[in-house]
Amino acid sequence: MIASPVLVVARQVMREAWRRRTLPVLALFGCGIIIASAFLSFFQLGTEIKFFKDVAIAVIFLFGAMATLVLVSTQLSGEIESRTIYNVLSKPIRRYELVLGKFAGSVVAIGIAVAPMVGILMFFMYVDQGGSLLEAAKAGYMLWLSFVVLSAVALAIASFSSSIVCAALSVLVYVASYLKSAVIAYAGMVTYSRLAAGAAQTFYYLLPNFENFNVRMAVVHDQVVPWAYLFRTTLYAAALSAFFLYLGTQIFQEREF
Amino acid sequence: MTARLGHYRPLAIAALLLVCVAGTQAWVDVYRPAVNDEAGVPFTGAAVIVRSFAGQIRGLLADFLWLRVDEYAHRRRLVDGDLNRADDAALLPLVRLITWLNPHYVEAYALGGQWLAFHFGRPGDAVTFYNEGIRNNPQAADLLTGVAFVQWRLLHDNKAAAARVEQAANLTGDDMVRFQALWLEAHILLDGGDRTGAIRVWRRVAAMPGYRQTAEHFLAQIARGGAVPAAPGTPRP
Repeated sequence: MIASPVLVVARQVMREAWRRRTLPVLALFGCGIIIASAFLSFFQLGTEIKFFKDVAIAVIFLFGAMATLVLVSTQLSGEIESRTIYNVLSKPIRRYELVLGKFAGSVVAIGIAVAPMVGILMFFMYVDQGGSLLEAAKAGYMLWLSFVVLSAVALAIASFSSSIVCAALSVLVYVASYLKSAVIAYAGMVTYSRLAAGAAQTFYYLLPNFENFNVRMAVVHDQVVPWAYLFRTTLYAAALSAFFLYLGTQIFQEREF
Repeated sequence: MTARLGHYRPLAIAALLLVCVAGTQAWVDVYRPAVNDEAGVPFTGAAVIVRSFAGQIRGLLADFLWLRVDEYAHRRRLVDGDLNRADDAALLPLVRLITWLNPHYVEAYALGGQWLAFHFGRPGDAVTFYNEGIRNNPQAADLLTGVAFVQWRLLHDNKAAAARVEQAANLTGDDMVRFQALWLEAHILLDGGDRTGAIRVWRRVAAMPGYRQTAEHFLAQIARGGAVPAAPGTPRP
């Protein structure tokens, strides 16, 4: 059976992620911090589990985002800088297949890196009877979705830039996605112009919104994340990833080395 | 002509994908309050900006700020045998920041309200702060009894105070919380001269399992025309 070029590249990305040790080390650090935070006992009685869930979700988010940036930003530019891209493209593989393969391999590798952290969160929630494990799993899934979108954004940027520029710009997009609500609020405060309000709204709908994947409040306060929300957010992540991947493949297609 | 159109195809596809992004975002927004009830909180412009900068780690940030407040609050200096008010004044912005980052931080609202009322002599501001906390956390009995105490003792608005504790008493859950709320309500009513109201409240307490003896003690005290004792769990500065 001949494997699809996308799958071959994806498998290679995962093997490379394991070989470089960056991802396992980051995952190990994340797990260590989550386990350590489970034993902090100076919090007020009854609120330890709330603190623990808060800390664990934030750690998963921080280390997951870091792993995503480290892994994805070096994918295309790494190949170009080390000139292995010539070898790869001399094989029967199209450029868009290479980008898609890099994306698929990265998101699976990140999923594998994040899974133990989510597992530890669920374990301590089970031990302390600190809420629904299903909701914790949903939070883990939502965080992974945000890393999928971040991977697509980073790959789109990596298609025309070096790894450092890619990492910096990806962080910028991420921060801008949170700042856009501040911009809208500020626009509302300083102007009554309909045009400005319309521009702010357009800005809101077109820029990535990573806040969509934030279900921390629901998990910490033992609320239920509706399946419909999960479904809609999955579609949102798919649309956003498709847009950025399309952008990335188009730019990479035209790029000369 | 076809070649010319083909030239615009990538742009058309990108635009179509952007429309999908905007459409799904609008679709997600419909469900947003079900997942994050902060989505409906009317934050001020400053709060929105602070929250945006904190991003997804704002909950964690609120938790650590609370630890800082707790640590500093226990290190307040004594001046002439009394707590140094300047130390509390320095901590209040942290409390405000916590409630911006996490509007469900009941403890921060309770502490901030208490400090405003009893340390800084600003009961009006304390009530406003408590009310904001109650609006964001309608099930928080601590905040309802806290604001009732300020309205009763400092603003002498017994009617409003009694309404607040009645609200706390009607929250479902802990019998102890219900008892404390009714206890306070009975004293507020008696202090306002409403003996009948106080007796009615103590009878409600008597109907609660385990509290009959306490209720009968106070009913007997009222029958003897006893004075209003100091309220239990009086918030201490």
